[in-house]
Amino acid sequence: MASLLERLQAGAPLSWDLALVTDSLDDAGVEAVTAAHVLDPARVLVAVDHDTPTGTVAVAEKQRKLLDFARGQGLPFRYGQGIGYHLALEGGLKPGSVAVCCGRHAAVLGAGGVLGLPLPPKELKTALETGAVSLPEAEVCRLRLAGALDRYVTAWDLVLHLAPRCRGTLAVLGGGGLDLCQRAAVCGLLAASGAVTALFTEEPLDGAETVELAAVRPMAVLAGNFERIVPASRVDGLRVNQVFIGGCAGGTLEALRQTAAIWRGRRVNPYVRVLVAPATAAVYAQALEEGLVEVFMEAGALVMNQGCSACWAQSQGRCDGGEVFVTTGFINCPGWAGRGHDGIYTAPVERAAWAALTGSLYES
Amino acid sequence: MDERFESRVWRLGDHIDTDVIIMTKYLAKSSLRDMVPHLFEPLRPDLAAKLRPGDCIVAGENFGCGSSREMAASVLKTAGIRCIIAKSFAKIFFRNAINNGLLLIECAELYENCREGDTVTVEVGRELRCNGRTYPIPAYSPAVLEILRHGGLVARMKAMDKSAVGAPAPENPFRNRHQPGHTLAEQLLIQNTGTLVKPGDVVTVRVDEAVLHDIYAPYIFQQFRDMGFDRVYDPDKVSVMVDHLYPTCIDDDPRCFRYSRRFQDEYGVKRLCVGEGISHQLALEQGIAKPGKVVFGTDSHTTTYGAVGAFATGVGYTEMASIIGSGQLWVRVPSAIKVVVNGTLPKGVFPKDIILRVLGDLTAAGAIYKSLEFTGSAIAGLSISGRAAIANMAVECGAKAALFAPDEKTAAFCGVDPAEFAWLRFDDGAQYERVLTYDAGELEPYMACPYSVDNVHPLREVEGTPVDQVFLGSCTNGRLEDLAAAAQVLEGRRISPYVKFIVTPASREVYRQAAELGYLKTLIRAGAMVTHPFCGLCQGRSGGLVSAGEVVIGTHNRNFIGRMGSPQARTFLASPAAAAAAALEGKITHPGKYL
Repeated sequence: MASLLERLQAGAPLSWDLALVTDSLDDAGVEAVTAAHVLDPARVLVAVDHDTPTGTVAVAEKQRKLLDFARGQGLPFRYGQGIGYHLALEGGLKPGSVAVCCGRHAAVLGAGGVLGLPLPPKELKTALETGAVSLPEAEVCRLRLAGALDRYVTAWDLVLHLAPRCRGTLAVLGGGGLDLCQRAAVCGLLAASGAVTALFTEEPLDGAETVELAAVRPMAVLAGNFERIVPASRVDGLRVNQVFIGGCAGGTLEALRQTAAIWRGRRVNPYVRVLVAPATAAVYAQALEEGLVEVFMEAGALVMNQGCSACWAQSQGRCDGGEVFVTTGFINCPGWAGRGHDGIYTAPVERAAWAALTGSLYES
Repeated sequence: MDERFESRVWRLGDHIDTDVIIMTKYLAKSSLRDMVPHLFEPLRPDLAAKLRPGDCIVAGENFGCGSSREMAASVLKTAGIRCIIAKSFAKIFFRNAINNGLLLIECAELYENCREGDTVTVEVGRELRCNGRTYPIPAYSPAVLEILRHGGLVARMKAMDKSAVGAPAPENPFRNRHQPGHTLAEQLLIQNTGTLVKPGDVVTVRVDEAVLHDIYAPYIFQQFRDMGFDRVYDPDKVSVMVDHLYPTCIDDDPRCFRYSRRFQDEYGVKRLCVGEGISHQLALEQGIAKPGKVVFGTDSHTTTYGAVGAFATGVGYTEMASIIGSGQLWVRVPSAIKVVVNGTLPKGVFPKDIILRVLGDLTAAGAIYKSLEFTGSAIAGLSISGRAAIANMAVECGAKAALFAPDEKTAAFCGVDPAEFAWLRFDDGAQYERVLTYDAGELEPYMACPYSVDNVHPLREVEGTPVDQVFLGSCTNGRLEDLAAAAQVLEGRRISPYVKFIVTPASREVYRQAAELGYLKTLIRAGAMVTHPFCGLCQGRSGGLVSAGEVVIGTHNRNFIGRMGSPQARTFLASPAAAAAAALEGKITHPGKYL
């Protein structure tokens, strides 16, 4: 079997190993996808993970269609068990696999070495029925991470340097010794800022550009547009109303451990709303086991059920007016977390955790 | 008030609950005017747009039952509804309406003799006429007339001389002495007021504790200011609970979150509990609820504190503003119904089943304005947690208060010396309007079936009904015992993948203990979504709404139409063990087989 990189080079249609269908689809998308006659049910995962537990009747109706689709064709179905990407990785999806997904952040699977291809609903339907997917027409951009990050710099800040380079490309990264949280952050942020997708690989990266980690400086993502990635000095000292630690990177066990280490024995700022959401049920259970959840509770934060939670923000973590919402998630559109609200700032876990204590987001 | 007016009739049925009048998801809107278009939405979605100022509502019995939300009255008033004529009114709604200057008229016979669109002529204080018939109007009590005379409670309180607030209590001749021949409610009110009271008397009580909720904070705050108060009567006796709207699920919520802090920041209120859990659980844990106290809260399930022998009941936001300003409230002394439960509960039957059975027997209007007082060997055998579940749901049959005589379990739970409350006990000479007697051994698992809390049937009659969602939580059944029962059913098992299972512990303390004992791990491994402790899905604002045709089993306390999302969804109320068994099998199941 050719390596993933070889298959990418060849450019021919790939057979995919997993199709992930979630409730990030809108109503039209659900109609399109659930009309599929699935070729291989065992390779599909229908995960309702975004709006759980459900915030409106309309979303409940949408989710019902996904349940009926899964039940009707015998597809693996998980309701409210956690973020689909992480469920797939926990379920044994191997590095070098190919996944077709309905969501924008399919690149998160790249944290596990999986090629996550986001597809529009009609193409996803075709992929479900044929078992194959065509590669996007995009440059494959190879990057080798070398050296180590400075003390107050995080893997998240890499995106400040890499986003312009990776926009419109299929980014393949190697090296760096990053953990799951950091890899999920890098891949997810690159996709959010315009890369077609991203993944980490252990395969040899011939001809890769070298990225010196020691040269990385802190970044922030300004509210309203995920292409507005700027030096963190632009938000240094920003007063904060709500902090969310969760999502594809912030909800990992590594992120929760890091947050607990910062909050242990302390209390969050009483004027800040603080929410923590483990990525999956397994992460939640492990966080309980390790005493992390107790730290969160003692600190006065809210511990949410597993899933997309306040990154998806449609029914958890709503904001109003001029509030500043610091998130470890990858969505920051105007009006996303509240009608008329435009104040979502993405930050690395550490800086978000400190903002919960101090009430301000700092550049480092 | 006009002496005489004519009004166009809109006709509604029996047991129109306040969730139907205005759904919970609208309560945090910043103005009552914004809520007007949503009146009666789950029941008659077209009605609000047709209402005109000056119209009236004619209804059956128990109008305004359920939640204490004052918006049910104040939004009707804002919409210009002139009066409501009903066979009977739920009592919290009654007070809220009077406090807003909304005229309520009790009339047993008009409902059957009119149609929607008729015109009724009202001569205030005398009679009403419709379709050629005349109906007498009952007189109001002096306390009610006093408020109506001012046009509402805000005006009444504005006119109040505030210099007397905080004056020390007069000498109480009954202090710590048992008064024979009285119900528990009467004993509590005698102790509080220092006068011998009987049912029907209107007395002024000194408020021992006031519990405010985030969802009403902006409205309480505004009314408090409008009444002309500039300080709370006692910052140690006022508690603000941020338990309904945090996590913020709807865009109106952050504002309520901010307003909740103002009582502490601006008026020095000591106790502010943010994200610690449901108010009623915290009140028990933190000693707000104690034997002998008189407590008011802006939530109908304040009756829960009767589990430890406190006279506790729900009030609207305007009344709460008057309470925190003056430290007092007028109360009409309720008559009482005694419920005796002797014997031993069979396996699979829980305190929740006791109260469901009682509610089914009494019905939703069967205890309007009564004190429901529980005794018997089975009751004595219940933990405080079990008593709380029962006291919690007493309001669902209209009760003003639910009471248990404090005993050694109460003393241990509350950390008080039993000698302090020896005066509060059942008395053979007390007069009860009714006595219901049960043999606990003959009880079985029950369910409150759609769409009313008193539509109670044995579980076996609906066994096998397919289930789409299960909710384990709320002030009724979100405590450690409840999580333990569910964990026992689900230990080592996984629920049906097609069932949505939401678990919400009632407080951080419950959460902590449940985590330590491994219950949470069991429930998560079984497939549950464990949320942060708060009111959660019980409110039906968010966090588990369902679509038409879906069936929900919940351990909470209301299954009204529209309260879980779609008006065509169906909610059954049950014990935690029954709820867990339903999640496991994907259908209504007798829990006994898993215990």
